[in-house]
Amino acid sequence: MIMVRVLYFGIVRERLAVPEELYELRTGSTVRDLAREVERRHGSLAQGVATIRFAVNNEYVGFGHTLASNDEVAVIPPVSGGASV
Amino acid sequence: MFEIVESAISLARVAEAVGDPAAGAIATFAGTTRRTNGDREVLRLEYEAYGDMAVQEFERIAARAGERWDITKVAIVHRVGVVPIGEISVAIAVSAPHRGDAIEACHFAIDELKVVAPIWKKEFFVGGEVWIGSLADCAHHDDGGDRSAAAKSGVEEAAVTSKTAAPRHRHR
Repeated sequence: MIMVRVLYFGIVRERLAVPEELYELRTGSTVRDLAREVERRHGSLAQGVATIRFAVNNEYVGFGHTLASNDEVAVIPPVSGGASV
Repeated sequence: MFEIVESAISLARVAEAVGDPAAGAIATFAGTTRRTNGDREVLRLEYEAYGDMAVQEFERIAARAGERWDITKVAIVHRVGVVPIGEISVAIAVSAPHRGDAIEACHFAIDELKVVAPIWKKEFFVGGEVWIGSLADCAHHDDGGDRSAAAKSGVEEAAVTSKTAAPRHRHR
């Protein structure tokens, strides 16, 4: 099992009412797996926004990115410049 | 100089940070809080940042600018918290031997920042509040605009997409 720290920002942080949480996942889990777990706990991440991006340890990653224990994952709603791609 | 700050930004200080004997020009940009947004009267903006990553993205933006233009130094400073009307939320300065490179790199830097920097703003206006870039904000004004700079910069991303995604457009 691995433990990752998930940080929420902006409209997502406001809706969830927490700035961060820990998630325990199976070893080899991907960002996709984590997103599913987050949505299981909190409902759809994309409520009220067009897209959500993810970053792991300060770098944008794709859904297939494999997580490691102690990774810091950020849930990134559309940033202040406007719409995400 | 790549910083997230919590108090008023001095554009002069940011410009001074890129001064260099190799430079023949310093180009600067300052984003300020405008008192209207469409037909909304803005009371204030509040900015939030993922600090560590934002600073790293500033550095990456500067590196990309350096690959495309002959520049000397770059400074990017963004304020978080409340930014009142008329005050500076973000300041960028670029020095270069020649002014064309300084100006174009500075323009590039702010356009990139708007797309990749993990910074969010909430607009408080007369009658309500809204997160800029959210669907509620998009519904308010659709300029049917141009391609996002992210597509040009090749930012790799995963997207969880809402089933009712708004048309992709560029905010001003």
